[in-house]
Amino acid sequence: MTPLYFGTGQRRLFGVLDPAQARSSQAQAAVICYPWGPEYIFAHRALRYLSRQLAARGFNVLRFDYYGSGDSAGNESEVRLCGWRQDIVAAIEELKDISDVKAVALIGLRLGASLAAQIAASCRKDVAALVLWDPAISGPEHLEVLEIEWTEMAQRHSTYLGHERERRRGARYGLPISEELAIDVAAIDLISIADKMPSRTLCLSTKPLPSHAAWRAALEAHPGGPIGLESVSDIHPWVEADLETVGQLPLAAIGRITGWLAP
Amino acid sequence: MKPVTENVYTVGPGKSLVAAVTEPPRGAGKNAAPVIVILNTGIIHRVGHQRKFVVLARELAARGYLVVRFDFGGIGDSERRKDNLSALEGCLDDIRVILDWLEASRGHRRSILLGLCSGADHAIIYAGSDPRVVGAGLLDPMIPPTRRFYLHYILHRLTRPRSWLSFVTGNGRLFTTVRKRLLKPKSGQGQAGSPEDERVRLFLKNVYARAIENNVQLLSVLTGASDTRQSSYREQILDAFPDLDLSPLLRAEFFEDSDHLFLFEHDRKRLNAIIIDWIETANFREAQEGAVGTAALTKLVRGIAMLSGQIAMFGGQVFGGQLI
Repeated sequence: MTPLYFGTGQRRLFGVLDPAQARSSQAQAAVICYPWGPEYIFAHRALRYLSRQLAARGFNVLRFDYYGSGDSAGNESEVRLCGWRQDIVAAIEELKDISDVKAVALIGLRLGASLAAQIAASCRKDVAALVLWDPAISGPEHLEVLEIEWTEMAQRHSTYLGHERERRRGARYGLPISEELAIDVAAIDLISIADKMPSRTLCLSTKPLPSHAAWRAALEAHPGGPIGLESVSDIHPWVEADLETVGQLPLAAIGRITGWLAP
Repeated sequence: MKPVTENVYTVGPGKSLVAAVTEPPRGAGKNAAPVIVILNTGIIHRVGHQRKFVVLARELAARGYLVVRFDFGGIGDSERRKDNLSALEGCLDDIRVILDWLEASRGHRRSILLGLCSGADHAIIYAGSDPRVVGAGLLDPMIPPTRRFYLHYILHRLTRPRSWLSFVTGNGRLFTTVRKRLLKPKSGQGQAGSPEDERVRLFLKNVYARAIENNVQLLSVLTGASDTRQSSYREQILDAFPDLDLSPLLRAEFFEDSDHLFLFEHDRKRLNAIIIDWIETANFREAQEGAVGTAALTKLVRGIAMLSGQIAMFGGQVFGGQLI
């Protein structure tokens, strides 16, 4: 495990490199894209575990915090999704440089999966494989789900406070998120770019959503051959666990991803 | 204003602990000031819920303080410990490792430990054992209930119609609480490992006594709207330990409307302002010589560790359980 900073002086990004622990005939590398907002903090542990599992199977893995999130520079209020897509590209370039490879696997969870899909759809030659783990398929649907998750969490942690009071103060999910960023998220539409996904794409779902029927149809119509939408029964690491489940890892989903990338 | 500097280090034997260091702008550092060391909340990594510790670290560094946020072994990005120490002993040893590193690499001999929930518990448990600790900022630490707390709790429940229905039928928590707590307020037979457990109360009394002995300045911030419902007024920390003279060292604050995690931005802004004010105005003692009291701490911790397995502490799993 090697923590590091990369990016530019204006946009300094924090990342952790888990170097390959096993030798493989060909160097392999993967970039992990975190979720957003309250989902980020809870997903961190599962994605660290995924990273180490892949490192044990011969991958150099880089996971990183987007600008204005986690340990990276910047404030939440400055964030736009076009900047986060640039951050993913910077992470890909950094990892290619470190690993001396021409292409990487791109793995994303929730909003991170949506951003990874958008990068992969931009015809980059250096995305060899794409893993979309419970992606935000439709922006408005994702904002709605985040609102529900946040409301449940806020109500669980307070005896009488709801989210309405905070919303009136101009914050979302307890974070100083700008209206511009919310508009960016609302514009996400993976179905419209499903035909541009790489042929080597794994799409996992642990939680059914109304958008899944159209998403499945779009993936099956992929010009390079149908891409399946796999359902996996597992916990949702991006939401806060209760005392009974705290510390549990989504082993089925992680096992499927590692098995698919490194059979 | 010049920007603060942020760097990350791997610390300790095997470079296993990941520590993010936020430094004041060049030339703006308060060299004689204590370093602020922020501890994990449960198994949440050093960034904190709603990024609260990154924001706090930047605000403190902008005012001239060096701030370290690190992950305990097995949490966040730090490697899991390879020894056989219990979860609690491992965390306490990790604090020692960080303070050793600060002293060896930068010459800092004074630190303030700051944590929320289990982080607060780790801070106060460690505070009495190391002469380098001059302050402990305790955000919603584990705190035993008092008679006044129970009174508040019951009055709160009385305002809820559903509580009345349960009370009348003799089936609800209110009825049980009245029966058990008011009629037998000192029974000491609370749920194992809960703040009501007499063994835990005595352990906490012991650690606060050790912190007093070490002349550690204390900040206690309790919340009133928390799901854990373990505090209901500002002075509860004083009333919980009536035999201890905490007052000269303690600044006590109470956030009646805040949840346990300070999820709302306005609560975090108020919290940060209080923490900064405490750090800038409290009378932190000078560095003093003396060895880290590892042996006494180990004895104390192993005493409470006998309860391991029975205890579930507000998600923090301080005394028992596996951290990973």
